[in-house]
Amino acid sequence: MATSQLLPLELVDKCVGSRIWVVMKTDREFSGTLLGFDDFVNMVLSDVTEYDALGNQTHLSKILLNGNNICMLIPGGEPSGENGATEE
Amino acid sequence: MADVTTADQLDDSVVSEPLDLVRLSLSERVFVKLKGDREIRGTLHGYDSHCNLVLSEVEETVYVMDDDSDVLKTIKKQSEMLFVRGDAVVLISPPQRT
Repeated sequence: MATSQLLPLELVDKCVGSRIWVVMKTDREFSGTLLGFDDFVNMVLSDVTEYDALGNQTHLSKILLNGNNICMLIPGGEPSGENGATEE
Repeated sequence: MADVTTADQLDDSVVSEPLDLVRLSLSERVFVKLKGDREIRGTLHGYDSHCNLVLSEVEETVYVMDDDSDVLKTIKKQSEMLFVRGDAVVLISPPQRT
């Protein structure tokens, strides 16, 4: 393709070494430091906080997250950090 | 088929397959419906053959449903930049007129 664009996997690559917020297809989220990923967007994260559907938090020092159930990745994001979440 | 390179595929102005429609939306606002009762609106910066997406200036709407499939509440979130995994994408479209 001659069109210049930012490829999705390039964006993920730029995040290696920084904080990332992972939203799963279910009501579960993870926030951690991205150590690496593969072609399937399986991810290795460290210093992780897991947020479940009820809002409970669990701390995990290092995880391999299966890319199958990932919905979105937000660079530098924290669930209750800079991005406002409003309920209606 | 997409795996044989033809002159048409090297020509950015030709729309011959579904992902060509996505290409037309590069740098434009798009509306994306995702699995898990979510919708996002953002500026499309990149995509690939899996429908993985890069979007900026994003507003996400999460519809929280009860057991009877009624909408309990909606949650709106904003993000400057995000990656969407392609297998969660249901549809990509120009923004709806509201």
